[in-house]
Amino acid sequence: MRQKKVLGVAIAMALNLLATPVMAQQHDNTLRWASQTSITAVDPYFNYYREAMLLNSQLVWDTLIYKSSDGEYHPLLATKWKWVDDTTLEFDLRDDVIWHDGEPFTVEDAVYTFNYISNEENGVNVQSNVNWIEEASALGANTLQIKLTKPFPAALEYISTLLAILPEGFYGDSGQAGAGGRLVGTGPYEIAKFVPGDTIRVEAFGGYFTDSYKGMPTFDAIVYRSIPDTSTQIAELLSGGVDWIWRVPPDQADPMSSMPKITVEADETMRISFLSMNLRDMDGGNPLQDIRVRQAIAYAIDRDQLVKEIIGDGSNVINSPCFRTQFGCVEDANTIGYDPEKAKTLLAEAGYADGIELKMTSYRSREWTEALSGFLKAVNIDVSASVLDYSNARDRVVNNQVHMLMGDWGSYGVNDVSALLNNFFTLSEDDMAQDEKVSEALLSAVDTANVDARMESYNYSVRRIAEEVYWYPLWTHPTTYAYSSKLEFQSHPDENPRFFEAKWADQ
Amino acid sequence: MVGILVLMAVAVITFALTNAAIDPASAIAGDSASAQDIQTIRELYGFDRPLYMQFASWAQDMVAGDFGQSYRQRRPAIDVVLERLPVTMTLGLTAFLLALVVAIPLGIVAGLRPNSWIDRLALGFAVLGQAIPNFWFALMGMVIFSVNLQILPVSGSESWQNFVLPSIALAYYAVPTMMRLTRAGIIDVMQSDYIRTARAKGLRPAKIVLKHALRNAILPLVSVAAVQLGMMLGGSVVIETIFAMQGIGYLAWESITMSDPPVVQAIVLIVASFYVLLTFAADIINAWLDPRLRAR
Repeated sequence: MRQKKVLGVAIAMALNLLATPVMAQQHDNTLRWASQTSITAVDPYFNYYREAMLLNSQLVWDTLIYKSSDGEYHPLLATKWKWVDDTTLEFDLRDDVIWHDGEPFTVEDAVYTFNYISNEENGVNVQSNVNWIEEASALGANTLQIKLTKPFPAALEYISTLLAILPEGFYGDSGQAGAGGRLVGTGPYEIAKFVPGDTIRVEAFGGYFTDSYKGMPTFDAIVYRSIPDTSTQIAELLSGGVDWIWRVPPDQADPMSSMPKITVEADETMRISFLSMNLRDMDGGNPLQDIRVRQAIAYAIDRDQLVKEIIGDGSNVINSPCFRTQFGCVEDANTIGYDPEKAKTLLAEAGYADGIELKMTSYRSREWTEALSGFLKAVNIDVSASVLDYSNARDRVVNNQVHMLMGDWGSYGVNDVSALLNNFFTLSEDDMAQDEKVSEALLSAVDTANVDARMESYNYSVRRIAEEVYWYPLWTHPTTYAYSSKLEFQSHPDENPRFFEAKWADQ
Repeated sequence: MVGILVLMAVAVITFALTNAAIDPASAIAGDSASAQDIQTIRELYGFDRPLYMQFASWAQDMVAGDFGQSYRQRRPAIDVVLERLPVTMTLGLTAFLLALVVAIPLGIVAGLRPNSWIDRLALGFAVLGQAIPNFWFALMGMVIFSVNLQILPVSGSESWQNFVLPSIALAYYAVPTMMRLTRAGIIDVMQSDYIRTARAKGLRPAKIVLKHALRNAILPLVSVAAVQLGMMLGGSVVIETIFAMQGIGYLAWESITMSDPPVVQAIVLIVASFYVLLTFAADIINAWLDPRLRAR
């Protein structure tokens, strides 16, 4: 066995040198795109990267229903759906859909999918995406019933975006995608090649159902490549090696925008940045337990200037701890603006006229963190900021080692406040405020399907979070896209590039 | 025996460091996981067990050749590493040979004419190689040959063309040390009595250098070259990342950043094995080159 592996390595080395290069060829009607993410699992559930869970997944697999960027639901694998009661959903499924291997799609496939992913033992990465599912069952040849563990009003948000339907037995006994020999979907493209960590090539599926809301495939193939370095991605785009990249840093987007044959566009996304304040007891005391200190911090930050000078095009200042299109989001809950003199006055009133030293952690951008710290320094708040990877930054929050977290959250594109605030304000170890009233309101909002009651709970929570300055809302994240000018592409705020909508301009 | 002890020490240190630095449960669950998600993962994968118990089961499996499952890829870590090994070995060996082909002749020429213009030129070349960061050198090469001239691919590891720029970038970083050692060795050896004797016997200069001088002059180079080769076979994180090459350097970087300890541990132990073997090989080569070492 070992000898075979060694021989395999030797053969692979020889093949590396004999192979011919792959260059972009638009006449092949192939869309090549790149991102930093190294995709190591091809299925949508044992991933947590957008590139895998959404971008590639929605090409290969379909959800029961489809959510367009305006938030409307449309039929996809299901023709009709309804809430039977607060904890029961029913779907009428299409009977004319086939998998990529030609087998018919049945209700048993959907039953298998929901029961597999909701079984905690199977270890789907993001349990909160699926742990509200109690059980799925077939009510008839084409009728699916999903029982929920409790009322979960945002269920359709998840079902329409993240919960792709897989063929029965997809994970086999080993838990590996396609272990049952069927690495197939019902989507407009089928998997042709997967090199873990490197490439995913999907090719147009001729048997896709013609009246799908996604439309018929416009490309013969779509190829994803993982390119970790942004400069390399840009070089690939300029040399024609790839046709589309995203998350281009603003300083590199500006010079690119003047280049011929390249389109650069910045767009707002649902991901919001916030400054989270720690109100828990800390060794040596915690000045942030005084609301005047929290308010002073907020008054010290000029978000407009930061957005204009640092964050860049596509970003907007927000005045609520949520994204405006999310159900339950109350706009303009925050009333604090930039006023450094008021910040100094509040600090003095709180007994910190000579200044104060605080610890902060963040995980997104050193530049943003330093710029924000600079504003605080100007009012004598000396911030010791550590920019870490997410898990280490979170560790510091959980272990009560920092006064502030400069964080962000994309809500997975889910248009409901529960996908955002319930992660941070329900007395979990991520909850820096530990406000029982807010927690109670947020939990009651996900325990009922009554729209008015939910709205009232969220209204209370959002306003209290803003008024008590548990979070100081900062800005929405922009995403800058750069792509070949020959490509017709439309971005959306849910940070979900829909390649099935894109096409070559001359098509 | 020493090699085995080295590998055991590396295993213990690697396990301790990866577990101290990484919370794999957070990493597996991802940036948007709730506290409950992370706790579920922790229990599911056994991360809530005491560290010594985790080490005991890991060491037991490792002795049997089982490095465990990659948390991210849900398959044996050793398979993940072996898949990436060909790219790194191709890149490392190509760069190493390129460095040798450039460094040794340049060192000989510089050593034969110390302080001449060609010596200054060679030293200037060496200083430049040491001074220029290899990521900058790599990016400049990419801009010139891939973006402007479009004669080489920008990134990837599918074809031999993909290896040209990374090999040059990696080799250029190794050339200065090897060139300087060869030069110093040649200068030293050319002043020896036996070389004077060879000259007095009327041997051709080329034969004196290549047959008599070089053998002794490259003795220090062999040990350094073994270390350089070890570094290259260990994967260059910077070069592989810039050129998006699917080698073990890039894999090590992403496994650390994505918190996949079984893969990190497998890589470190494999690379440590390379070093042990290369050091052993260097000792043998040195003994072959210099019979006096065999007698010790």
